[in-house]
Amino acid sequence: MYLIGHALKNIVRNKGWYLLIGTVLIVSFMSVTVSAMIHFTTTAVIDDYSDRFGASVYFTPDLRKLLTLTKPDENGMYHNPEITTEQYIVFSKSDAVKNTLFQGSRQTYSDGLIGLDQGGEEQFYASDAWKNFTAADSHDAQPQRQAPNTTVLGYSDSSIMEDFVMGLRELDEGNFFTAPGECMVSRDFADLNGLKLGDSFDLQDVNSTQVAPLHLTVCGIYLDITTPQPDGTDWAVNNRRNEILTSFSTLKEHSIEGLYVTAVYYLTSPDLASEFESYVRENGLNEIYHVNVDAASYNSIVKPVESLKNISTTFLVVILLAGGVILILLSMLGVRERKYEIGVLRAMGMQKSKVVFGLICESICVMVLCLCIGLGVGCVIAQPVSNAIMDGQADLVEQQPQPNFGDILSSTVGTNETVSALQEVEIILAPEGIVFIVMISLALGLLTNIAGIFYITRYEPMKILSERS
Amino acid sequence: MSILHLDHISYAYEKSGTPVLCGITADFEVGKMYAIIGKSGAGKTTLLSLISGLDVCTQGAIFYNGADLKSINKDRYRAQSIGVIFQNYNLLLGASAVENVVLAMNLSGDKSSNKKAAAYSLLEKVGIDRETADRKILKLSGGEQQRTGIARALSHNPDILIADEPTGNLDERTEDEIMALLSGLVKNENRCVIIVTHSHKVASCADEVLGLSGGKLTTVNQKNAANRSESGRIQLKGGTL
Repeated sequence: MYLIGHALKNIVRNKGWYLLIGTVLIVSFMSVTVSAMIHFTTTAVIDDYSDRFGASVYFTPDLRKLLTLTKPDENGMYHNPEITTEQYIVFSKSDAVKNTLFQGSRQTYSDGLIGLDQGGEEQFYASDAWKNFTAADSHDAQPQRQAPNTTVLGYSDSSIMEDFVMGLRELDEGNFFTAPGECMVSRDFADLNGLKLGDSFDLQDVNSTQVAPLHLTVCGIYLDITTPQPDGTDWAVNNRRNEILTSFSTLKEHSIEGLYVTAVYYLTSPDLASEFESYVRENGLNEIYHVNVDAASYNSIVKPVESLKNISTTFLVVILLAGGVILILLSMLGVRERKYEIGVLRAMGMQKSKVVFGLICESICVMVLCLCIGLGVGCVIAQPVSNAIMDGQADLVEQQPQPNFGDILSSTVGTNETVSALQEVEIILAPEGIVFIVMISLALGLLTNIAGIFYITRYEPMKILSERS
Repeated sequence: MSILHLDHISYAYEKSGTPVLCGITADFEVGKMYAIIGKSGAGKTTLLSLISGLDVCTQGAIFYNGADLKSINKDRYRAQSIGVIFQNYNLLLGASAVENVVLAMNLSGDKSSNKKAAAYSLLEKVGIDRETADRKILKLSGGEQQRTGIARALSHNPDILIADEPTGNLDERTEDEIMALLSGLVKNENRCVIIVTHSHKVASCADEVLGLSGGKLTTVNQKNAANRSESGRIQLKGGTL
């Protein structure tokens, strides 16, 4: 017990030296805390991002190949080879795919329902203009087309319902669709047709008479706050308020015939792009299509965080090396006085182990005090430091040219929320971070008396005293 | 009764190999005060270092109570069995006088609860009052540091007390007091006191005066029969002191 008391008194007796050591330790611990917090948080964020999203993939036609490998139609128009709904679904089963976001749409008609702006289309399909157009397009007689008065949109994930994400639509009554067969209709459409929650109706696909009617039940009514933009056609299909929203699985389970599908695939990692491309080629993707991995989008989100992590790791290593070297140098400089004291203690009969214990006690006491200060200050400044570095890294990434993808499910779909989240990485002190900081602190703390410990274990007391003399 | 036996001990400096002590054999008994005299550089302090277990002889052996110093725990030997008064004090400079004494008590394994009071009392015996005892060593005069060193050496009641010029920085009156204290230890507590000194007065207090010259230790004189020249200086084989 007296050894601990002696160690504590020694700290006070050597306060000048320990003040110097303490300053270095506090700066080191503060830096280690900031670096460790940023390192562990960013690692978790990157892992979490990779787990949730990965890199998105799009199919875009190569115009040069389109012109060379396909032939124009009678009107001189080139058409992209069709990617069937079945193919879109099969592609999602690749091992490289972590997640797929589907959006399906089907133009439908119902005798029992009236679409907003309905009427214009019927007039057009009955007109000579349509008859002339179809006659020119085909030699066969075309049956009169049933004009759609509704469009059913199916989503595999609520995150791709962009209008809701952007605030252009909001839930007015009921709930979002969850169960098969549930749907949402607009407030205007519901009022026009006297629909209320729980009402059901059947919709017939206008492009395929073979498809059985789609039976849907209203589970929610949404409010569309966009201003209608009259285009002079008065077609129901052009009015957003005629859109009936349901799940993609409801549309897929009903029938994939006549269903127009788009999909975005999220790979586990951008590195798996070639594996995914091989898979989709094997499953019939036309060579006209490019398989584009949106690594830029992935990187634009992850890069700043990765840069932050790298900066913090580099900073940590530099601090540890610099702090370690400074502490060893200080320890060597301070050992002159400590050496005399060690010699006296040894001459008085204090065992080597007890002298070492005393020195370690001193180191630990100083270390704990400095750790508390360094940890406290580090925790306070970690977030501002992280924000400052993140801002800088995000600016750098923004300045880099980004590829433009024209797919309906653009690179922002399903990732906007994440971009926002990663711009504001919340730095936290994880348990493993605390363990790491304490271990580093112990190591740095021991360096403060390493030279003293070296002398104790190496030399006899008379040698130490005579060297001092 | 011999408590310490030097058996043909020799010592040479590690780097130069220069021999300092050559085959010294001697016995030190309890209840006696010994004075070792010799010229500067004769090896007196080295001899004390060997006896106090601070250094190791290159040849021969030192026996404490029949046990070879090489085979016993020298830390415990220094902390409990022997008290050393160093020529240059060797005190903890940042600590107070009383803290130095209390630390020595702690190292000796003293379990008493009133160590600080005992330390003050001991310091008072060597002429350090309470106020001075609470001062840092660096703020004490050479004489006060010397007395603190003496108090520290006495703090654990050692069987053997070794003193290297113990009264070198003390005034005549304090020198008398210290010598009386050491003589009391010898007579009343049956301790063995070995003093290295240049002082005739101190040597004259010793029961036996040993001369160190040319690496050899010889008995110069027994109690009250110091071999003096006409000038009053002690005669050694190699000359006068």
